[in-house]
Amino acid sequence: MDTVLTVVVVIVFALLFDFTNGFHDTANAMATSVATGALKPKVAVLISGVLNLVGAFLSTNAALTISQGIIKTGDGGLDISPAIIFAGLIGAVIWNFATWYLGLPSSSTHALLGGLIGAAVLGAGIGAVDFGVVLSKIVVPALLSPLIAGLAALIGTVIVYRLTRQATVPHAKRSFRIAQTVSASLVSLAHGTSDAQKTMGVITLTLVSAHLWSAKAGIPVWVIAACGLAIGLGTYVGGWRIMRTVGTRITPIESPQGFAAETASAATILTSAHLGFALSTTQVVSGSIVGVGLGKRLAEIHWGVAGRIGVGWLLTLPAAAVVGALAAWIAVGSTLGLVSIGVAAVVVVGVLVALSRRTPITAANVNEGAPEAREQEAVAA
Amino acid sequence: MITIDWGSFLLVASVSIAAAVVLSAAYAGGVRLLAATRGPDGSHRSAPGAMAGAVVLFAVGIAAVLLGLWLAIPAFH
Repeated sequence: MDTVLTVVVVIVFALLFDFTNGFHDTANAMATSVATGALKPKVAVLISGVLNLVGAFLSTNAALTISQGIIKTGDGGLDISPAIIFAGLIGAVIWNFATWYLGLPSSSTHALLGGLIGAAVLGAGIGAVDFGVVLSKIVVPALLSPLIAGLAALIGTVIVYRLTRQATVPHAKRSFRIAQTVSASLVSLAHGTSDAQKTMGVITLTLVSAHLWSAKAGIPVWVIAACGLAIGLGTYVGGWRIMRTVGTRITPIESPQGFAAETASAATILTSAHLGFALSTTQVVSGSIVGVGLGKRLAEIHWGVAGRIGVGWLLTLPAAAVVGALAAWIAVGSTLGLVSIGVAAVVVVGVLVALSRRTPITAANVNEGAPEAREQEAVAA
Repeated sequence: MITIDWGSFLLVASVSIAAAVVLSAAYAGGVRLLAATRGPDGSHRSAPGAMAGAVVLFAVGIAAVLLGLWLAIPAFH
């Protein structure tokens, strides 16, 4: 009975994590398209949500290695039990809601790994974590992603403005809005194929460790469907707070810049996954946006905002790890502890959602401070 | 043991930047050439060279989108 209860609680939080993964990352794919008025906010999140759902079904050969070698298993290492996975999920979910409340884009993958690291250190000591892998798979890619994407977007922006005489040739802006929608859709699809798999892996591993499923049987179909729906729904609900930061607060974005940013992001995300050096979508997109700001003459970049986002990235892993460790301390070994941590997490999330209501950001006001989107709305009206 | 695959990193960096630059240039060039086939009042202007160039450049963009789909969908490879 306890095992079944544990498994059910883990699955619920895994799907909640998947949901936050979707609504955190709506901004990555769609913020620039929304900010330039290429897509209406609600249309953008609908397209992105559907493509995330489709992406989840397209890629079901998920590797069942959620910790990516960061947590040592076997001799001298740790048995990744459902309670450890649960504690890791708690760390990730709380971090994702906290950063959403602050409107900061941050990597859900890093949050999940941070939570698992914290839980593992508490469960089996500091030796259970391979910090070399942490450096090579998390820290270094996080530093390099925004640089590559930023440089690609910067050069792209300069070229685009030069070739179109500062976007004054007829139909230039409209053409860029159309192309930007296409690259944003590709980013959404790629997001669904990569990110939904993480939660599928988490749930399947939990089922396997509880002897309710065999690892050889792959991913259960209902898990694929549930994960696709959770990430798609999260994307559709839309993290408007993060979208406003990414689309309007780093730098004001015009459609030629939106096009250059989305092209650089899509190119970087799609090539990196296939050339053996996986980069984080969140960091790629933020880097692209700073790049297009630098690439346009007289464009203003709000370095304070960019700096806050950077600090958020530095804190993601340790902050999620602290919450994960705290959750593991109480949840491992007692079902009562596990359930009470689950209840406590729901309360924290509820408080953050209630606090967000005091300064609501929705589809209706996400574009305040986005000049080109305002123009589009005026034309449509 | 810290192992950073700098070879892969340089490959990813150069391919990403090259792809972004080529695609931005192709599409922006296409927009510019297409504009050259129209007069200032929006009327059609005979400019077969510009039209052909625009078609080729937009085709590069469409090919890139198809390649992107191929890359994004694991069933294709």
